[in-house]
Amino acid sequence: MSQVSNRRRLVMIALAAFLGVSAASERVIAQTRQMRSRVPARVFVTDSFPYPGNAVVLRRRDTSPQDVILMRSGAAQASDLSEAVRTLLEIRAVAGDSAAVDGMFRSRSTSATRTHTLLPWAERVLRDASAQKPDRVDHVGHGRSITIWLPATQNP
Amino acid sequence: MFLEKLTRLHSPNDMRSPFRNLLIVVALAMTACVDQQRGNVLTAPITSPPTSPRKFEYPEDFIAETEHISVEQAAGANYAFIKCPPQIHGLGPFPYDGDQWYTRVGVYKNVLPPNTQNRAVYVNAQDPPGSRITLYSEEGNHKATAASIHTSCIEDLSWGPFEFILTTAETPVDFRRVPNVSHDDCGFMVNDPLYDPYSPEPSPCPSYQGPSGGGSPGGGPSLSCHEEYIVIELSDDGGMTWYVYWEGYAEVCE
Repeated sequence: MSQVSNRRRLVMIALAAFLGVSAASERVIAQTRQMRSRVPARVFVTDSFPYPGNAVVLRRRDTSPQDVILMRSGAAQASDLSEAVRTLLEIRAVAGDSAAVDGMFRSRSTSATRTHTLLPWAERVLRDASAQKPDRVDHVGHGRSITIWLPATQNP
Repeated sequence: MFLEKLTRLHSPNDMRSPFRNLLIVVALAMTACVDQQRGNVLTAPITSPPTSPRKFEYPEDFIAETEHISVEQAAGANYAFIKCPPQIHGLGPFPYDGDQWYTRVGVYKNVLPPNTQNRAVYVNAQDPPGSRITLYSEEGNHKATAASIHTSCIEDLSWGPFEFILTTAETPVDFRRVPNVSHDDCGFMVNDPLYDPYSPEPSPCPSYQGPSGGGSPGGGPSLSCHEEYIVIELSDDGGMTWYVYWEGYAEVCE
């Protein structure tokens, strides 16, 4: 009888320990996810595009939105947006999700094997941005824009 | 002030230095004009001091200074922050203890391939001032591993081309790849057809099964990764001129 009671007690203790660990794990996972929520960027389509190419990445420290993908209206393609998103992700991986310097960025690879993956949603985002009402982004100008959310980097 | 500095620089156990006597003679000869010219524009060349930088290395005298030299490896990037001396960090000139100083970095070891002399550039001079350096091989396509940085704190006196290297330090630096982070916690990648670019929060992990059927943390699609040498350039004049903001190996996952 006492053996059964002890066994039951052990089972209860093990169950309580398991539940405690699970709860703690859940908290850790939740905190981790909270830390790594997505980071916004504004896709801005404009007729006034005085830069070479069809897309550039702008970062601004003290202006919201901090990250702007500026695109040439009528000429920019989904491939341009895909490459710009990739550049922005690389910049964030290096310099952090929050802009530390103001400026225009571009990236290139010395690898001959670099692929140019077309983002499946790039065309939709470009179309959606072009369909927005005209607005103004500080220090950029007038155009049409939409906010997208990209994965947070490990470099906040 | 200069003589005070000289006294501090040369303690009695420095008598073995072959440069000591020359230094003192030169200093005494120049003291008068130094005090007059400090802070002013030099209008006549000084002939007494050496025309090339002179190095005086007495690490035992400057242990306190040495303690403040640090090279920190930032997570996931191959740049380093350098402090030299107290409360001052970065490369380039800075005022300290009434004088103008600057920090110089050189000598990199253990690079790949052997016998390759690496060099450093410092970029991003405004954030914070001159603190970020990027190390890369001369060839531009070799990864430096287990490299060491040789740091010199140099006092640049305003009256002539006369440098004191107060202390040096070699600090090991691990060069790491910059991870590509185009996926979220559950392996959602930006090039995934199910990625929702309009959602500010990552999609819930348990219900998601990526096109590859799992294999990465969280049950998302398995990642195919490779390394690329990437150069990120920055322009602060609207695209007229560009300079290298960062370069190095990145892990690109698709």
